[in-house]
Parts: sequence; C-alpha cells; structure tokens
Amino acid sequence: MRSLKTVLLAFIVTVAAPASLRAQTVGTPAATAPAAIAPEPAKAPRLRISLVGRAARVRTARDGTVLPERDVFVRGVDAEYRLRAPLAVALRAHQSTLGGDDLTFGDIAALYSLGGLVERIGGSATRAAVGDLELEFALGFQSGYELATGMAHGENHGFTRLGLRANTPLGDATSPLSFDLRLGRIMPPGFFAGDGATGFDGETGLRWTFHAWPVDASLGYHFGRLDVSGAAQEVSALRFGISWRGVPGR
Amino acid sequence: MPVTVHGGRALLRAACSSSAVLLAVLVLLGSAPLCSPVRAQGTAASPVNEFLDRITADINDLRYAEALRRGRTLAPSADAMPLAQRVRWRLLMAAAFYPEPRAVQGADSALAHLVAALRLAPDARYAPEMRWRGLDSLLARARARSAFVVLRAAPSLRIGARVAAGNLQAVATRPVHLTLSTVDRATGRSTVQDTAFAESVSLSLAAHDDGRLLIAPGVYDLVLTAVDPKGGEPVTVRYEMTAEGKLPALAPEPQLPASALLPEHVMPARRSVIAKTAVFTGLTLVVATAARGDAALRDNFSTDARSYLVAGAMVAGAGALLTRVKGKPIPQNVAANAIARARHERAVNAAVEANRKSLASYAVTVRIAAEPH
Repeated sequence: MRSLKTVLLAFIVTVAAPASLRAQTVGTPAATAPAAIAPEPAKAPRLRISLVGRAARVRTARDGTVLPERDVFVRGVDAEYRLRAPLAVALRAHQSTLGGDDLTFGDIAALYSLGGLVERIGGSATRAAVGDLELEFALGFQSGYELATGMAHGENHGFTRLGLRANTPLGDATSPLSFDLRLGRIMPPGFFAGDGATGFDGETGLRWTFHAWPVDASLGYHFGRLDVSGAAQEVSALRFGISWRGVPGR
Repeated sequence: MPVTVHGGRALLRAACSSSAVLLAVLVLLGSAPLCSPVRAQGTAASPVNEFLDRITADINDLRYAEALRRGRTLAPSADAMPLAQRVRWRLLMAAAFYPEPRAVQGADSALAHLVAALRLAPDARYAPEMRWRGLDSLLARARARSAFVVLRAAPSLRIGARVAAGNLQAVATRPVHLTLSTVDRATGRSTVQDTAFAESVSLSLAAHDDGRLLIAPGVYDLVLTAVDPKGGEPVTVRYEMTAEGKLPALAPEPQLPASALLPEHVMPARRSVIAKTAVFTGLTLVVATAARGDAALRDNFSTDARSYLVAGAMVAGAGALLTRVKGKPIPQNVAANAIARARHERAVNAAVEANRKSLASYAVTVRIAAEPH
C-alpha cells in the first residue's frame, strides 16, 4: 500500500510542473454582477495544491462493541488539476502522525464539470450563482480496523467513491469568500482488495481567496464513515488548509 | 468689557431701616427694565446699583455681617436682575464672605458666589480698591476650576458680507478652541461662522460669504462651543438670535441626488449570501449528524462539536463579507460618476456666481439675547 502513496505523490509532482500551467486555459462561467456594468470575472485556477491539516477524532465499533475514541492530527496534500474542460483530476494523500497504527487515506478522482448542464437549464446567471459543480468518481483507500490484530488502523481498505463537488462564491464571482462542498458515497467493489468497504465521505467548508496573491485559505469540516468486515469507523475532522493556485496567464 | 466691582463710598449710606429699603428695592426691581441686556443698563441711576453701592460701602467699612445681611435680601430677586448687576452682586457677596480676618472667612460660600459670577462673566474681576490678600487667590481658584464661556454683542448689529473685524466678543475662563455657528430654527441647518483659539477674542458673524447665503431673515440659535485643549467636556452656550432684512431672489443651489450616480462597487447580493450561508451551514450539520450510520457509535458518542465550529465560521465569514467587504470597483461607473460630479460642480459654481451678485448689497439686522437659554 505504501507504493500507492508513492504513485500519488509522483502524480502531484508531475502536474505541478510550471511549464504546463501556460499550455492551455480552462475557463469558468462568466459572472454576472448586480451593478450596471459587470466587473471582469476572476480567472479560474488551473492547478490548485493545498497543504492540509486535519484535527480528527476517530471512533470505531466492532460488532457493536465500541473502542475508545482517539484524536489524531492528519496532514497531507490535496491537489486538483484541470484538463480540457469539462474534465479535471484530483488527488489526496494524508497520513496521521502516530506512526504504525496510523490513520492514512488517499484517493485519486476524475471530475466532470456540470457547469454546462446548469447553464443549459438555468442560464448563465444560475451558473454564476451556483459556481463550480462537478461530478466525482474516485478510487481510494483508507486505513481501518484490522481483524487479525484488533488495531484501529491496521489495514488499508480500498473503495470506489461516487459523488459531487461544489465551490460556490458568496456574492459574485469577484467575492473573496466561497463555500466548498464534497459529498461522496463509498461503495464496493474496492479498487485494491475488494473487501466490500461501504460508507460516506463528505466535506463542507469556507474558502477565502486572496485576489492579490495566488493563495487561498480554507476551513472546513470533514466526516467520513467506513463500514467494512463488521467494523464501523467514523472520522470527524476539522480541516484547515492553505492553497497555492496557478492561474492561466500568470 | 470686563465686569469690575468698584469700591468707594455708597451714596445711600444714611438710608433708612433695612426692611423699608428692601421693600423699596423690590418695588423698584419690579418696575425697572430688569431684563434689558447687560450693555443697555444704566450705570448710575438704578436703585439696585445704589443698593449694591451700600453693600460696597459696608465692606469698605469692614461691616461684613451687615454687607451679608443686605446682600441676602437681594437673593430672592437675583435672577431677575440684569446681568451686570447680578455679577456685581455675586462678587460683593464673595468679598463679604471672605474678609481679611481669617476667623470670619467662609471660603466655600465665597467660592460658590465666585463660580456663579464667572458663569455669568468669565472675565469678572475686582477693582484694585476691593482687593485684599486671599480674595484674588480665591477668584483665581474659582477660575481654574471653572469652564465657562459667554458671548457679548451689541443689542443690535447690522451685518453683511464677512469682514476681517469681529463683531462679537467671546470670553472664556481660560484659552480654548472656540467655534461660533448659527443653527436655523426653521430648518435645523447649522453653519459655522468663525473659529478661534483664545481666552477672549472677537468673532465675526456674516450674513453672506463668497456668494453663499449664511443668515436669512428668521430665528436662529447662535451656538458658541468651547473645547479645552487640555481635555474635559466641550462647553456649549446657545443664544437666541433674530435676523431681520430683505432677502434678494436667489438661485437655488443645484443638488446632486444619489440616484444620479451609478454604483461604483460590486457589492455582494445580500439575499443570495444569506441563502447560501443557510444552505451550507445546514449541510455541515447534516453531514455531521445524518451521515452517521453505525448504531453503536451513535448511541455512545454525540455529534462532534467540530461541525458546529465550522458552521459558526461560515456564518461569521458571511457576516464579515456583508459588513466589511467594500466590493470591487467598476472603473466605467467611476468615470461616469466623475463626469456627473464635474457637471454638478459647474452648475453649482454658476449658481454661486449669480447669487454673489444678488447678495452683494444684502445685509440683515440681528438681535442677540443677552444671556444664553
């Protein structure tokens, strides 16, 4: 499983190459402003790399028996790279600081923008109000309860996740504040072991974009539930991160 | 003109008994024009002045108890006395309360009369023949602990364009920042007329200035505000002022309504912000509660408070956005508004120029109350 992490990290390095940033542009919906003359909408970032920390509380139950809850700090990297519209890819690689019996999770996701669909249904104004809305299909893993040893995070479980992502600006497209949402259903078959993991993974949060610099700051709440092999695990985390965003033409 | 208490022998030293005098004084007080302004009072023939002269004579003859007795008989009608006589009466009472012999000095009573005198005339002082050791110091003490300011003017003033020379005298107990303004009682409009920093200074009052009408015929509050640079509360006194005159026809000053200007910033749509905040805050709480699946975990652990923290942060962030973010400027609208403002300024200048010609010979007669209200 360590090799998977290596692959994910190698992917980050590959897509983060600066030369690729100027190769192409991917637009987001033009914003409509309530004023007489609309301002120029902000250019959407093509690449976003975030350093993320999570203050997480992990709760585990095995066949109705509850294990003591644990607080762990998880740190890692989130990355998102926009290919030709409407496609994008994203990945996450996170690990706690506990060493052997740690909480580790990661995934790689393909994203499909639903902006065009929203625009066809509700028009450009609706698309601007909704912001970025994407369909997500992810393959991932998460460390969970190990039957053989009874360790809370002794074994990695693979899964498939299908869900939605959204980033909605508060106000108009030039607003510095936006809300993030990610909702996903975890379901078998697993990508790796096929051990039948099911569950839910969701995040909400707010993001403050510093327009003067290519930097965002975010704060969010993450809840993940993983049910596998008679064990249920809940991860409830406060997520905070700082992102660097690459913008076309910059 | 400072109010000064002079010594000297009284003219009515040989007057009859006190009760008869009191009666006579009160009768005369009732019939005399007591409410006339300070500067309009007669100085010699007033019976009140004669009575005050007798108190002065008592003090000069070292008969302080008699001076106090006589002075107290004026107390009930003191408020009806003209300003100058009231000041003089207060100073004489203070002197009678504070003679040279320490044994009979009543410092608190004297100080109270001095403060009352300074309230009426911040520059009040004793004549040289009325001075003795301690009395001047007490007056200085009273002045130091007081913050009073008054305005003095002739009963009737003819004012026109602003001139360099002042026509009103402002007097304070110490050097202060003074601001003289008029407030139109009909419209509530306030106009600053003059400012100065001084203890005693001439301030100017103008009916028009540089083509702008400052005082139209009507009733005003003449407001004098004093601010001590060393701190303390500002002191404000208001005098009723009546202006009479014939106002020439004036061109109205063009107004620039807010609706004539385009918005210069894109502001967040309030309803949309509130709605989105409600939705995402709700989703945060739903994710933290409704997504929990395992019954054992639900039974043993409550919902993690981290979700509430993030929900609260969303509300706070939206609040900050609505209250603090100025929005993004719209250069086209800024340029259009600059043109609109320039046009408005030209229209204002044309109106002011027309009014300047009309107001060139305009003047009003103002009557200012002797005392503040």
